[in-house]
Amino acid sequence: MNGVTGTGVHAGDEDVQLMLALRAGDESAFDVLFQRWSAPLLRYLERMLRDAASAEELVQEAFLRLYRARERYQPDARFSTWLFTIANRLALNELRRPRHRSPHQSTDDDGDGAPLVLAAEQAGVDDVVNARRVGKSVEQALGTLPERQRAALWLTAVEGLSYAEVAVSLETTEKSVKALVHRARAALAERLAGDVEV
Amino acid sequence: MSVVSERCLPFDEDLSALLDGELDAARAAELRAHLDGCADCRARLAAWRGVDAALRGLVAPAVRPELAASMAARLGAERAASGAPAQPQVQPLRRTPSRPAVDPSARSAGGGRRVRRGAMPVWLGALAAAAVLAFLVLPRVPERTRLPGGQGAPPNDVARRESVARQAPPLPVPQRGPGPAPIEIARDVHKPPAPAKLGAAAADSPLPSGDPALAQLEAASDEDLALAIAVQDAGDVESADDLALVEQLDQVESLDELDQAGHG
Repeated sequence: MNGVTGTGVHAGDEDVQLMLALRAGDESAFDVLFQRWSAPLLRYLERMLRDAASAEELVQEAFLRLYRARERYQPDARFSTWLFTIANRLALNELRRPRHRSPHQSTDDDGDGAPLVLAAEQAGVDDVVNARRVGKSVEQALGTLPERQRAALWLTAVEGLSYAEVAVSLETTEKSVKALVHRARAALAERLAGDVEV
Repeated sequence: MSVVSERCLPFDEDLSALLDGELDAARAAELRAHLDGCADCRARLAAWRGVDAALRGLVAPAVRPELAASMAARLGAERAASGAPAQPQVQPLRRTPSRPAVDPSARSAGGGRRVRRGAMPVWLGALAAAAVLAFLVLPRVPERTRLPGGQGAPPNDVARRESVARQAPPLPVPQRGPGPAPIEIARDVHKPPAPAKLGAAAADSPLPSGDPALAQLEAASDEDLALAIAVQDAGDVESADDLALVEQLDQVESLDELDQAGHG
């Protein structure tokens, strides 16, 4: 592949190959990485920060840091682990700032904060309303979790990272991640059981 | 459901780990044996599955074109500061621009996915229905980034998502189209034919006639060239509509200076 090689254990990861290409001078690899990962990263950071503008800012900052680190990059982990580690450092720093407590600004078209956007003409009105209500409950319940619980559960359940990878990303231990995920799940289940009625 | 009995307490945290496939085979077997005889734990497990499904069912925000444009501008400034080229130096890899798939292979072989489902709480039914509805309808919603996996897979089936992703053929470098706009890195330098007067002016230049930088300038329109010169004069490379043209100007001027030095 154009002389781009990686000797790390994750060299088979396509995103790792893109990073190696970027390191080797293929600047277009950054474009592809941004296209592949900006949406998942934005989704994660919005849930972490609960503020769309801050999340967008941190997506850019994370990718800039990725770019700056390209020459030192080593494929020691999956790309996602590396990217979310960068993002977590940024997000947790941001959350420590006093100013960061603005209400969540949804990027949904109607701007009402409902996370599930459905095409009303293709579903019953009741279904749409119900789905919006359920999705909103999930968002709100997620937002009540402590930051590290939220991060650990999201990265595990949604992004598919292993406990070991989340531990790297959150700079903690696997045992701690296991406990964080467990507590987050239990808390969410309880809150949703109280919120969602049919 | 909130109170865990003393009998179940030693299993509770591992029950969550079972769901994540993080237990070794022996411990997973212990858990399954316990689950066979414990309706409460089955219910908790089902509830937690519902939580995961609900999280995966949350719609990803769309990446606004403005975000991609802003990223491109900031990257441009970064490149200008570091002296990196604006265009690729090596042949780009074949690559898949689609959403990367979750890789469950990184998890330990706990077999958590095989745990049978317990009784589904009422709220979980609502979540599941909402998730299904979202999946049925969401693909038709324009400019909306898809759910995790992004391949139209069920929300809580990580393995299937990966399978679908693996079946997808590699795509070329992404072009502009539906979905998030790629940031613009390689600038389009193909311009309409140059007016005659630019070519005539260039013909008087002491530069070699076959110089590629000169050829590019010759191919540029008056308007583009004027803009490029303005950008160059202002030293405001970030705002350049055609960065390549500015670079060609720099190159030609540099060669021009060398040539003059040689004659002087």
